[in-house]
Amino acid sequence: MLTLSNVEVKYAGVILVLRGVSLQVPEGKIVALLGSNGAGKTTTLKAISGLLRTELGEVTAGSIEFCGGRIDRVDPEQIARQGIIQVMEGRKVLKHLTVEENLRLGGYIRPAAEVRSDMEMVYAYFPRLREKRTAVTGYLSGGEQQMALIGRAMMARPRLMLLDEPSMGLAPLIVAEIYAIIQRLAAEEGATILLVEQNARAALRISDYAYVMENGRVVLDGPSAALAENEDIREFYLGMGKLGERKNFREVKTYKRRKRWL
Amino acid sequence: MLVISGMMNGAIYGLVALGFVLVYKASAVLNFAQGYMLLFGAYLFWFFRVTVGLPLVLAMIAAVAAGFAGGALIERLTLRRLIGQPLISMVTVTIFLSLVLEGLVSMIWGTYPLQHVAAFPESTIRLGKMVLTTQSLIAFGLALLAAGALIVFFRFTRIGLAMRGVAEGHQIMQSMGISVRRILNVSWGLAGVAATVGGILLGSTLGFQLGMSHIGLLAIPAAFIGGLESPEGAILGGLLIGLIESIVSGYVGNAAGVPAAFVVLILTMLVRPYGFFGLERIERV
Amino acid sequence: MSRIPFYPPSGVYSDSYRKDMRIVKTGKQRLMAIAGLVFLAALPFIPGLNAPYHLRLLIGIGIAVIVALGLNILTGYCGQLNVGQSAFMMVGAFTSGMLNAYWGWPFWASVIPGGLAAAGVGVIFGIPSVRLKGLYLALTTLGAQIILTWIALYGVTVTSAGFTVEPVRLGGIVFNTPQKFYYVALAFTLGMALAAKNLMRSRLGRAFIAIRDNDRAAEGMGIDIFKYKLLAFAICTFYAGIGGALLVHYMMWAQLESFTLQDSVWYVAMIIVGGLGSIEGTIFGVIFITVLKELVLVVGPMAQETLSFLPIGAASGMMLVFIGSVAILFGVLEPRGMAHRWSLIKSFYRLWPFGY
Ligand SMILES: Nc1ncnc2c1ncn2[C@@H]1O[C@H](COP(=O)(O)OP(=O)(O)OP(=O)(O)O)[C@@H](O)[C@H]1O
Ligand SMILES: [Mg+2]
Repeated sequence: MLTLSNVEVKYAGVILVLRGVSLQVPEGKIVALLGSNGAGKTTTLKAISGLLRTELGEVTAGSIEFCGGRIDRVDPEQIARQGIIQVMEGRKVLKHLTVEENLRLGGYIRPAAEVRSDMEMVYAYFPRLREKRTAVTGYLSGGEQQMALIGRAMMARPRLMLLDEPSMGLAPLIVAEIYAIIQRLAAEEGATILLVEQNARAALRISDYAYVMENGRVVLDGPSAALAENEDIREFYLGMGKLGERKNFREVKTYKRRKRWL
Repeated sequence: MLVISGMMNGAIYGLVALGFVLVYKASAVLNFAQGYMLLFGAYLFWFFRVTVGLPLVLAMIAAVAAGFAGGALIERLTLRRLIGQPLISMVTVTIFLSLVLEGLVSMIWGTYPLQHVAAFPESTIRLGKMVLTTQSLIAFGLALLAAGALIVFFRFTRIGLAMRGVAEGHQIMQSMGISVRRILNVSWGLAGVAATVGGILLGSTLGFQLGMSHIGLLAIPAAFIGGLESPEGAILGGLLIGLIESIVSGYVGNAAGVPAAFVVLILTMLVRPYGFFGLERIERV
Repeated sequence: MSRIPFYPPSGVYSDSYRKDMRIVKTGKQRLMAIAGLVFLAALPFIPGLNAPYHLRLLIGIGIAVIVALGLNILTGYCGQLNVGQSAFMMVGAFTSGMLNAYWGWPFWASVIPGGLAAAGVGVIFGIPSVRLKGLYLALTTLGAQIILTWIALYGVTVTSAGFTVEPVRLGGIVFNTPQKFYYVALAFTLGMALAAKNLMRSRLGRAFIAIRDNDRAAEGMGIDIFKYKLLAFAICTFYAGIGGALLVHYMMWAQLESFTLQDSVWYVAMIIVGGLGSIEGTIFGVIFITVLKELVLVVGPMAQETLSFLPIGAASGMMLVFIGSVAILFGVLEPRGMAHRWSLIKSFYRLWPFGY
């Protein structure tokens, strides 16, 4: 459904952030994108959704195709209307609007008649949002804001949802709740999701396929179940040694070296 | 008496301040040309009413439509090209815009006041000791009505809601497939409408003359006192400024009303830096 | 607001910061500067150029340069907007003029008090707004324009009608003709421009730029934003005051009409057209707008006569439309102003015939 081939991204014409990223998101699957801070995960999502260009970023090489059409030169509004909705990291809710207004704006590009029923669907997934629907979003808790954000994206009935770190800064229980809902979304609505996460364990559990990024490159990919068993992943991202024991510094160094060659 | 006439004009200032708020809210641009948009809108009405000879209601509709188109055109031609430039470039452009608008008016219609046109029947009503003209009464009612309509528009329509969203962040709106440019365009169009309606009302009570733009300047303190971001605040700010203007010029004389309004603006800035009805800024993460 | 740095010709290099910060870097530049000065000094004696009309124009330009320089220090270096510059000019003008007319202070004694009075009034208007983030200074300066004009009109009897001011004297010379006053204006303009240039190369100038570019970060670096913004505004209005003092002693008459809101807007137009944050640009901008205004003054009435359908007052409207549009064009198409164009042309000339 979505294919990135050799995508290179520069900010302000000089800062090379992505150095040839290729990945695929098949229809109806959850694909995870893992990597440490600054690896370029968010940049990849912004390249897909077109939001890059609002920050002086630009796809300078390679191509991004969505359902057979190239989208790497299209305006972000147009891309969203084609059905790619990005849930940005850092809880970018519209703070001064109520939850319901946030949701209504999420459905802005949909026929007005369907907005009501879509909102009911969102409330069915997130009962908490129904309780808070007249509350000003800025005063919700972090978890509720994250739910409002995902709900807002659902209102657009996206064909592909780009989820950027939905678990950031949330308590484990809330994270579990949100992940359960994402999984249900995929199972019940057949949603296609590209999920960016720091929390590799959770992401690998719910996704079908995963890519690992380092320094603007994809360094590893495979079915999530296989990656979860992969030695390097286990050691580096899941913090487990071969036998589940902790590593000493010397060994960590060798991983670093190894990682570079991945 | 002063109180009443102050409120009458105040409603009009509030209406113009609303135009100011529309633009500020969506793009953080202080639109210095608002008073001159009022001037231009008023003269447009005069043109349709007197030169073209349209019936009153048609002339108003034509002027308001032209005001919308004019506002949208301004955005399209100037401010859209400045997206991504520092705010200061946009604000200075609105300053120059006021020159152009004033210049256009004097090029087309000259610098002398125009023949008076009554937008509404002229008669007086006695209320106890007070004498009111129906003119100002209708103007007052219409201003409040227009303001109310805009508030409803913000609250309940799709595009009004989108405007409030745009005020919070352009990138977020784009990520939802909403064209920020279109919203900004409509904001400017509506600012043009608010200015034109204000212009018609002001012109028919005070006469069509270049000095109207100066009165339009009062919208700036009105909008600021109201907090720059809230439509209700703009109306209340307008009423307050109208009150101050009429009381001060009543007692002090010498056209002290406008300076007094700006004194109030500066005092407000000292006491309540973000006005009295501005959004409570939500800063939690 | 990034700008393309101005690189000296190749072969010219600096082995210390001190040298790099010099205004005049090469022998050729020095030669050109001296030639320019000699030309300016000799101008009143050059036939063809020394008509009183030209000299009056030049004097007007000189005074406007001073006022606009102040504005550019505030706007270009500190990122704040002032739409009441001519009102502060008025404060300087009336202070200096009244000191002269009513207490007999000579020009030389009253010019600095004029500047200081303007700066003092400026600070009063600046305090409420510079504390806030954003362009709120634009609002209070608009207020200043309106309030100060009102005070001058109704609050102080002498200023509403206007009054005579004595010309500048130095020793036995009375600078009461354009030929003579030209030198006063020239000296002040050069002096104030050099002062501005030096000021902006200093620690202060760098603090201003830091505030303009990012006031949060500037605060983080330990710059007291409130103090510096206010200081920039005080400098800005001081320049306005000096310009105003010069103006009344040149016209030998002080009147309100020289200081309107529209004049304030012209000053903003001058620095936008010339280039924000550029001393040379300010000079270009002032010349450009002044010449445009003169052109319209000539063409306008002609158009009014030939095109009989134009209403009364159309000529003045034409000026507003024309110059306003030019300023918008500059603002939209070349936000960095003429100074930027100029440095492009300069580098083109230097590198010619090898582009790039
Ligand atoms: N707008 C921008 N302009 C310039 N550089 C940027 C911009 N946005 C991101 N970068 C740089 O690009 C690199 C990758 O950033 P990105 O946000 O994609 O990382 P990330 O993988 O999402 O990290 P994190 O897990 O911390 O969110 C970083 O080095 C960052 O400094
Ligand atoms: Mg990220």
